[in-house]
Amino acid sequence: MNERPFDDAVDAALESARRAAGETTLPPALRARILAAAEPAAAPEPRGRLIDFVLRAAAVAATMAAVLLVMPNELAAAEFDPRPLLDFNDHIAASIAHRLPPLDLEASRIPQFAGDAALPLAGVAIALVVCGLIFLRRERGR
Amino acid sequence: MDDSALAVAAARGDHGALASLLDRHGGRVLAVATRIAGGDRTLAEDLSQDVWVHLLRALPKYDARRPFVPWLLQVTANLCRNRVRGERRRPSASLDALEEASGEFVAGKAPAPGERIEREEIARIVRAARDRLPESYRSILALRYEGDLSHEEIAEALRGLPIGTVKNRLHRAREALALELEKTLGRRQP
Repeated sequence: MNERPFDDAVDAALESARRAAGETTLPPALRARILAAAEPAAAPEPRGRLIDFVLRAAAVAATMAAVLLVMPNELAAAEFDPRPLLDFNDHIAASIAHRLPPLDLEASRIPQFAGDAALPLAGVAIALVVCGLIFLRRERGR
Repeated sequence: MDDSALAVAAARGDHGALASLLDRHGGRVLAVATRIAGGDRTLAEDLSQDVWVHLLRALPKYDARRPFVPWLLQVTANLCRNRVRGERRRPSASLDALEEASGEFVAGKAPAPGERIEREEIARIVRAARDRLPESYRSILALRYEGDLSHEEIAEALRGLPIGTVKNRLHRAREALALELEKTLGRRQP
Protein backbone atom coordinates (compact mmCIF):
# COMPACT_ATOMS: atom_id res chain seq x y z
CA MET A 1 0.00 0.00 0.00
CA ASN A 2 1.35 3.43 -0.91
CA GLU A 3 1.81 6.16 1.66
CA ARG A 4 0.10 8.95 -0.25
CA PRO A 5 -3.33 8.76 -1.84
CA PHE A 6 -1.95 9.89 -5.21
CA ASP A 7 0.99 7.48 -5.42
CA ASP A 8 -1.05 4.94 -7.33
CA ALA A 9 -2.26 7.59 -9.74
CA VAL A 10 1.31 8.73 -10.35
CA ASP A 11 2.46 5.16 -10.94
CA ALA A 12 -0.37 4.58 -13.38
CA ALA A 13 0.38 7.83 -15.22
CA LEU A 14 4.08 6.98 -15.51
CA GLU A 15 3.34 3.48 -16.76
CA SER A 16 0.97 5.00 -19.28
CA ALA A 17 3.79 7.34 -20.37
CA ARG A 18 6.05 4.31 -20.83
CA ARG A 19 3.50 2.60 -23.08
CA ALA A 20 2.83 5.79 -25.03
CA ALA A 21 6.54 6.35 -25.66
CA GLY A 22 6.85 2.84 -27.07
CA GLU A 23 4.06 3.59 -29.52
CA THR A 24 5.27 7.06 -30.47
CA THR A 25 6.24 7.45 -34.10
CA LEU A 26 8.38 10.17 -35.52
CA PRO A 27 6.45 12.87 -37.42
CA PRO A 28 7.24 12.45 -41.14
CA ALA A 29 8.49 16.04 -41.48
CA LEU A 30 10.91 15.59 -38.61
CA ARG A 31 12.05 12.24 -40.00
CA ALA A 32 12.80 13.84 -43.36
CA ARG A 33 14.60 16.72 -41.64
CA ILE A 34 16.80 14.37 -39.62
CA LEU A 35 17.69 12.23 -42.63
CA ALA A 36 18.54 15.33 -44.65
CA ALA A 37 20.74 16.65 -41.83
CA ALA A 38 22.46 13.28 -41.52
CA GLU A 39 23.18 13.10 -45.24
CA PRO A 40 26.95 13.44 -45.66
CA ALA A 41 27.98 16.64 -47.39
CA ALA A 42 29.24 16.10 -50.91
CA ALA A 43 33.01 16.03 -50.49
CA PRO A 44 35.16 17.11 -53.46
CA GLU A 45 37.25 14.49 -55.22
CA PRO A 46 40.95 14.30 -54.14
CA ARG A 47 42.11 15.68 -57.49
CA GLY A 48 39.62 18.52 -57.18
CA ARG A 49 40.92 19.27 -53.69
CA LEU A 50 44.53 19.42 -54.97
CA ILE A 51 43.60 21.80 -57.79
CA ASP A 52 41.61 23.87 -55.33
CA PHE A 53 44.62 24.09 -53.00
CA VAL A 54 47.00 25.07 -55.83
CA LEU A 55 44.63 27.76 -57.04
CA ARG A 56 44.23 29.20 -53.54
CA ALA A 57 47.98 29.20 -52.93
CA ALA A 58 48.56 30.91 -56.29
CA ALA A 59 45.97 33.55 -55.47
CA VAL A 60 47.60 34.30 -52.10
CA ALA A 61 51.08 34.49 -53.69
CA ALA A 62 49.84 36.79 -56.45
CA THR A 63 48.19 39.10 -53.93
CA MET A 64 51.36 39.33 -51.83
CA ALA A 65 53.52 39.98 -54.92
CA ALA A 66 51.17 42.71 -56.08
CA VAL A 67 51.24 44.41 -52.68
CA LEU A 68 55.04 44.25 -52.49
CA LEU A 69 55.50 45.57 -56.03
CA VAL A 70 52.94 48.35 -55.88
CA MET A 71 53.56 49.68 -52.37
CA PRO A 72 56.27 52.40 -52.30
CA ASN A 73 59.08 51.52 -49.90
CA GLU A 74 59.32 55.03 -48.51
CA LEU A 75 55.67 55.16 -47.53
CA ALA A 76 56.05 53.72 -44.05
CA ALA A 77 59.16 55.75 -43.25
CA ALA A 78 57.65 58.97 -44.59
CA GLU A 79 54.53 58.80 -42.48
CA PHE A 80 56.11 57.82 -39.17
CA ASP A 81 58.61 59.95 -37.30
CA PRO A 82 59.94 57.94 -34.35
CA ARG A 83 62.06 60.71 -32.80
CA PRO A 84 59.53 61.96 -30.18
CA LEU A 85 58.87 58.39 -29.14
CA LEU A 86 62.58 57.62 -28.79
CA ASP A 87 63.11 60.81 -26.77
CA PHE A 88 60.26 59.92 -24.45
CA ASN A 89 61.64 56.40 -24.08
CA ASP A 90 65.07 57.79 -23.11
CA HIS A 91 63.41 60.11 -20.60
CA ILE A 92 61.57 57.21 -18.93
CA ALA A 93 64.70 55.05 -18.85
CA ALA A 94 66.73 57.85 -17.29
CA SER A 95 64.15 58.59 -14.57
CA ILE A 96 63.78 54.93 -13.65
CA ALA A 97 67.54 54.43 -13.42
CA HIS A 98 67.73 57.54 -11.25
CA ARG A 99 65.08 56.45 -8.74
CA LEU A 100 65.67 52.73 -8.40
CA PRO A 101 67.86 51.61 -5.46
CA PRO A 102 71.00 49.71 -6.42
CA LEU A 103 70.53 45.97 -6.64
CA ASP A 104 72.12 43.84 -3.96
CA LEU A 105 73.10 40.86 -6.04
CA GLU A 106 74.60 38.90 -3.16
CA ALA A 107 71.38 39.00 -1.12
CA SER A 108 69.13 38.11 -4.01
CA ARG A 109 71.19 35.22 -5.30
CA ILE A 110 68.98 32.30 -6.26
CA PRO A 111 69.97 29.04 -4.56
CA GLN A 112 71.52 26.50 -6.84
CA PHE A 113 69.29 23.66 -7.93
CA ALA A 114 70.39 20.45 -6.26
CA GLY A 115 71.28 17.82 -8.83
CA ASP A 116 70.09 14.86 -6.75
CA ALA A 117 66.48 16.26 -6.65
CA ALA A 118 66.18 16.07 -10.42
CA LEU A 119 65.33 12.36 -10.57
CA PRO A 120 62.33 12.40 -8.19
CA LEU A 121 61.03 15.57 -9.83
CA ALA A 122 61.30 13.98 -13.26
CA GLY A 123 59.48 10.92 -11.90
CA VAL A 124 56.64 13.07 -10.57
CA ALA A 125 56.42 14.93 -13.87
CA ILE A 126 56.22 11.68 -15.84
CA ALA A 127 53.57 10.32 -13.44
CA LEU A 128 51.50 13.49 -13.91
CA VAL A 129 51.73 13.22 -17.69
CA VAL A 130 50.70 9.54 -17.58
CA CYS A 131 47.74 10.40 -15.31
CA GLY A 132 46.71 13.14 -17.71
CA LEU A 133 46.87 10.78 -20.68
CA ILE A 134 44.80 8.15 -18.85
CA PHE A 135 42.24 10.79 -17.91
CA LEU A 136 42.02 12.06 -21.50
CA ARG A 137 41.61 8.52 -22.80
CA ARG A 138 38.80 7.84 -20.34
CA GLU A 139 37.06 11.09 -21.22
CA ARG A 140 37.23 10.25 -24.92
CA GLY A 141 35.90 6.75 -24.26
CA ARG A 142 32.69 8.11 -22.77
CA MET B 1 18.61 -7.25 -38.96
CA ASP B 2 19.11 -6.31 -35.31
CA ASP B 3 19.93 -2.84 -34.01
CA SER B 4 23.64 -3.47 -33.54
CA ALA B 5 24.06 -4.71 -37.11
CA LEU B 6 22.12 -1.70 -38.39
CA ALA B 7 24.33 0.59 -36.31
CA VAL B 8 27.48 -0.96 -37.76
CA ALA B 9 26.07 -0.61 -41.27
CA ALA B 10 25.08 3.00 -40.60
CA ALA B 11 28.59 3.71 -39.35
CA ARG B 12 29.90 2.48 -42.72
CA GLY B 13 27.72 5.04 -44.46
CA ASP B 14 24.61 2.98 -45.16
CA HIS B 15 21.93 5.65 -45.13
CA GLY B 16 19.16 3.04 -45.30
CA ALA B 17 20.40 1.46 -42.07
CA LEU B 18 20.24 4.84 -40.37
CA ALA B 19 16.70 5.32 -41.66
CA SER B 20 15.74 1.92 -40.21
CA LEU B 21 17.18 2.85 -36.80
CA LEU B 22 15.33 6.13 -37.00
CA ASP B 23 12.06 4.35 -37.74
CA ARG B 24 12.57 1.94 -34.87
CA HIS B 25 13.72 4.32 -32.17
CA GLY B 26 13.03 7.86 -33.38
CA GLY B 27 9.74 8.05 -31.49
CA ARG B 28 11.31 6.95 -28.22
CA VAL B 29 14.16 9.43 -28.60
CA LEU B 30 11.64 12.19 -29.27
CA ALA B 31 9.58 11.17 -26.22
CA VAL B 32 12.65 11.24 -23.95
CA ALA B 33 13.81 14.55 -25.40
CA THR B 34 10.34 16.07 -24.94
CA ARG B 35 10.27 15.21 -21.24
CA ILE B 36 13.84 16.38 -20.60
CA ALA B 37 13.04 19.57 -22.48
CA GLY B 38 10.19 20.16 -20.04
CA GLY B 39 7.45 19.59 -22.62
CA ASP B 40 8.83 22.07 -25.14
CA ARG B 41 8.01 20.23 -28.36
CA THR B 42 9.94 22.54 -30.69
CA LEU B 43 13.08 22.25 -28.60
CA ALA B 44 12.57 18.49 -28.36
CA GLU B 45 12.39 18.16 -32.15
CA ASP B 46 15.58 20.19 -32.54
CA LEU B 47 17.23 18.03 -29.90
CA SER B 48 16.10 14.85 -31.64
CA GLN B 49 17.68 16.03 -34.86
CA ASP B 50 20.90 16.89 -33.04
CA VAL B 51 20.90 13.47 -31.36
CA TRP B 52 20.75 11.60 -34.65
CA VAL B 53 23.34 13.77 -36.34
CA HIS B 54 25.62 13.44 -33.32
CA LEU B 55 24.95 9.70 -33.23
CA LEU B 56 26.03 9.30 -36.83
CA ARG B 57 29.37 10.90 -35.97
CA ALA B 58 29.73 8.78 -32.82
CA LEU B 59 28.74 5.47 -34.47
CA PRO B 60 32.31 4.47 -35.43
CA LYS B 61 33.05 4.36 -31.68
CA TYR B 62 30.00 2.19 -30.95
CA ASP B 63 30.85 -1.22 -29.51
CA ALA B 64 28.49 -3.63 -31.29
CA ARG B 65 28.60 -6.06 -28.33
CA ARG B 66 26.73 -3.53 -26.22
CA PRO B 67 22.95 -3.19 -26.58
CA PHE B 68 22.14 -0.33 -28.91
CA VAL B 69 19.12 1.30 -27.28
CA PRO B 70 20.73 2.13 -23.91
CA TRP B 71 23.68 3.61 -25.78
CA LEU B 72 21.34 5.64 -27.98
CA LEU B 73 19.45 6.92 -24.94
CA GLN B 74 22.73 7.70 -23.17
CA VAL B 75 23.67 9.93 -26.10
CA THR B 76 20.16 11.40 -26.04
CA ALA B 77 20.20 12.14 -22.32
CA ASN B 78 23.65 13.71 -22.33
CA LEU B 79 22.96 15.90 -25.31
CA CYS B 80 19.52 16.99 -24.08
CA ARG B 81 20.74 17.69 -20.55
CA ASN B 82 23.66 19.76 -21.77
CA ARG B 83 21.44 21.78 -24.06
CA VAL B 84 18.64 22.27 -21.55
CA ARG B 85 21.12 23.33 -18.86
CA GLY B 86 22.77 25.65 -21.36
CA GLU B 87 19.51 27.35 -22.17
CA ARG B 88 19.11 28.30 -18.49
CA ARG B 89 15.41 28.75 -18.61
CA ARG B 90 12.43 27.12 -17.06
CA PRO B 91 10.39 24.79 -19.22
CA SER B 92 7.73 26.64 -21.17
CA ALA B 93 4.94 24.19 -20.48
CA SER B 94 5.30 24.11 -16.70
CA LEU B 95 2.97 26.08 -14.49
CA ASP B 96 0.49 27.30 -17.08
CA ALA B 97 -0.02 23.82 -18.43
CA LEU B 98 -0.45 22.41 -14.95
CA GLU B 99 -2.97 25.05 -13.98
CA GLU B 100 -4.82 24.59 -17.25
CA ALA B 101 -4.89 20.84 -16.91
CA SER B 102 -6.03 20.85 -13.32
CA GLY B 103 -8.51 23.66 -14.04
CA GLU B 104 -10.16 21.72 -16.84
CA PHE B 105 -10.18 18.65 -14.72
CA VAL B 106 -11.92 20.26 -11.79
CA ALA B 107 -14.18 22.68 -13.61
CA GLY B 108 -15.38 20.49 -16.45
CA LYS B 109 -15.04 16.90 -15.44
CA ALA B 110 -14.66 16.88 -11.71
CA PRO B 111 -15.60 13.46 -10.41
CA ALA B 112 -18.01 13.12 -7.54
CA PRO B 113 -16.40 12.02 -4.27
CA GLY B 114 -15.50 8.36 -4.50
CA GLU B 115 -15.80 8.34 -8.25
CA ARG B 116 -12.81 6.96 -10.16
CA ILE B 117 -10.55 9.72 -11.45
CA GLU B 118 -10.12 9.67 -15.17
CA ARG B 119 -6.70 8.33 -16.01
CA GLU B 120 -6.13 10.58 -18.96
CA GLU B 121 -6.76 13.69 -16.93
CA ILE B 122 -4.47 12.48 -14.19
CA ALA B 123 -1.85 11.68 -16.82
CA ARG B 124 -2.09 15.23 -18.18
CA ILE B 125 -1.69 16.74 -14.75
CA VAL B 126 1.22 14.44 -13.96
CA ARG B 127 2.83 15.33 -17.28
CA ALA B 128 2.54 19.03 -16.53
CA ALA B 129 3.88 18.46 -13.02
CA ARG B 130 6.83 16.51 -14.46
CA ASP B 131 7.71 19.46 -16.63
CA ARG B 132 8.02 21.59 -13.51
CA LEU B 133 10.46 19.25 -11.80
CA PRO B 134 14.20 20.03 -11.73
CA GLU B 135 16.16 18.82 -14.75
CA SER B 136 17.79 15.94 -12.84
CA TYR B 137 14.38 14.50 -11.92
CA ARG B 138 13.00 15.05 -15.42
CA SER B 139 15.95 13.25 -16.98
CA ILE B 140 15.85 10.25 -14.70
CA LEU B 141 12.09 9.84 -15.07
CA ALA B 142 12.37 10.17 -18.85
CA LEU B 143 15.06 7.49 -19.03
CA ARG B 144 13.11 5.18 -16.73
CA TYR B 145 9.66 5.53 -18.27
CA GLU B 146 9.84 6.97 -21.79
CA GLY B 147 13.25 5.31 -22.33
CA ASP B 148 12.23 2.09 -20.58
CA LEU B 149 15.74 1.60 -19.17
CA SER B 150 16.70 -0.48 -16.14
CA HIS B 151 18.32 1.09 -13.08
CA GLU B 152 21.72 -0.19 -14.22
CA GLU B 153 21.29 1.25 -17.70
CA ILE B 154 20.21 4.60 -16.26
CA ALA B 155 23.25 4.61 -13.99
CA GLU B 156 25.47 4.10 -17.01
CA ALA B 157 23.60 6.65 -19.11
CA LEU B 158 24.02 9.29 -16.43
CA ARG B 159 27.79 9.11 -16.52
CA GLY B 160 28.28 6.33 -14.02
CA LEU B 161 25.89 7.50 -11.32
CA PRO B 162 25.73 4.91 -8.48
CA ILE B 163 22.68 2.63 -8.73
CA GLY B 164 21.66 3.56 -5.20
CA THR B 165 21.56 7.20 -6.22
CA VAL B 166 19.49 6.34 -9.29
CA LYS B 167 16.92 4.48 -7.19
CA ASN B 168 16.84 7.21 -4.59
CA ARG B 169 16.45 9.97 -7.16
CA LEU B 170 13.65 8.08 -8.92
CA HIS B 171 11.88 7.59 -5.63
CA ARG B 172 12.17 11.26 -4.75
CA ALA B 173 10.98 12.29 -8.21
CA ARG B 174 7.88 10.10 -7.90
CA GLU B 175 7.26 11.45 -4.42
CA ALA B 176 7.52 14.99 -5.72
CA LEU B 177 4.97 14.18 -8.41
CA ALA B 178 2.57 12.62 -5.94
CA LEU B 179 2.91 15.63 -3.68
CA GLU B 180 2.34 17.98 -6.60
CA LEU B 181 -0.75 16.04 -7.61
CA GLU B 182 -2.03 16.03 -4.07
CA LYS B 183 -1.50 19.77 -3.74
CA THR B 184 -3.07 20.57 -7.10
CA LEU B 185 -6.15 18.40 -6.78
CA GLY B 186 -6.52 18.81 -3.06
CA ARG B 187 -6.45 22.59 -3.39
CA ARG B 188 -9.05 22.61 -6.14
CA GLN B 189 -11.46 20.02 -4.87
CA PRO B 190 -13.89 20.91 -2.09
